[in-house]
Amino acid sequence: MLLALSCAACGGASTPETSATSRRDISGVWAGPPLPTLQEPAPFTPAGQARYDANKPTWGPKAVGLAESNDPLITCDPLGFPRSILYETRGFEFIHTPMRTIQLLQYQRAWREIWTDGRPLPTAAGGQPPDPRWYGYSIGRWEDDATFVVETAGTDERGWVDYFGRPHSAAAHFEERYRRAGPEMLEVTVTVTDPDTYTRPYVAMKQMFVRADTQELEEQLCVPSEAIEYFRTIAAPAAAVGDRAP
Amino acid sequence: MTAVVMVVSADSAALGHHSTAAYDTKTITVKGAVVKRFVWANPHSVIWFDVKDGRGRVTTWGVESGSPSALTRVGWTRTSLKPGDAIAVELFPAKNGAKVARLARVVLPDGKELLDSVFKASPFDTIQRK
Repeated sequence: MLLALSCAACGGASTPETSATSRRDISGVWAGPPLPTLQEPAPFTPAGQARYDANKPTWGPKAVGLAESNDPLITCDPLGFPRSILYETRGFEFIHTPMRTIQLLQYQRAWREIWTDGRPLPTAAGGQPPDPRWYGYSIGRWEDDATFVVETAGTDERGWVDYFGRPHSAAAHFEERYRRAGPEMLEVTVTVTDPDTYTRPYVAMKQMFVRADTQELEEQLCVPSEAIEYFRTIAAPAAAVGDRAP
Repeated sequence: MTAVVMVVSADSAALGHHSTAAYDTKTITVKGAVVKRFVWANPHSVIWFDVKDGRGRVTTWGVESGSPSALTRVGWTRTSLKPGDAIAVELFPAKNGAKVARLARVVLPDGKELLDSVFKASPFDTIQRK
């Protein structure tokens, strides 16, 4: 807030830290909730239903205990995209460079490269999806002065869409819309288009993020050795079938 | 204490990494606990403590809490608890009777309280309220 006020007083001059009202600029650190509010997905296709049935999340209508879950997060696998914008969104940052925008993700200190140099999304031979990657391939463009639109494809289907265990295929296409909704507000809308998995496109999330006061990302890691120890000594005993009824 | 239980019931999603279905939704308070080990770790820090019953039998508990980054934000450090510290611990015990739990709060020997990170607002919540 102080930064925005000081910018208002400075007659329009803008630095990366005071760019709250700048055009075509979503740089800086944005803060969101650990678990964003998600919207209901479109109905599954048969293949999508089979993938969903195989996933065992710890949240939602089919939640299981941590010890029975196959959430990739438990072993500190990458969140991957789109889960990185639909889960653990306590902090992310954008940095604009001439050819690409970088998204730094607080969780696991990962990053995404969003190319803005006009290149298309990559395809493999025969127009097939490119070799899958946990964070896929992304391109971005400014739809207007306040809205940055990112398209992503080629995401590894080992990653989940969200913390409810909803799946996606390697052929999925995602759109993120980052809209400056105010000097300190960023509205993020994520649309999933995956005909292999869902019968129609659907909006997975529409969530407001706020400009972080400190403009610092925290170190928020999942450390495999520590996670294994935690799982062995706390999560597994807590989830074991006990001799006392709940 | 009642207020603390209500907070976690309403806001358990703030834990983030996984649900807390394995734990009771009501707390118990363990007095006369002695810290064995404080594991300052990701994704969850763990307090290990011993407590003696009336017959002198020792039970060891493991109580999970927030990550170092989350706990730091609400006033903890990696040396907040040291082996031998005498504390009281309010916790959500495992439903199955295992001596593991989710932390609610710790009361230190000097009476100071340290809440688990889930009970204090995240920066996101704080900013939103402005």
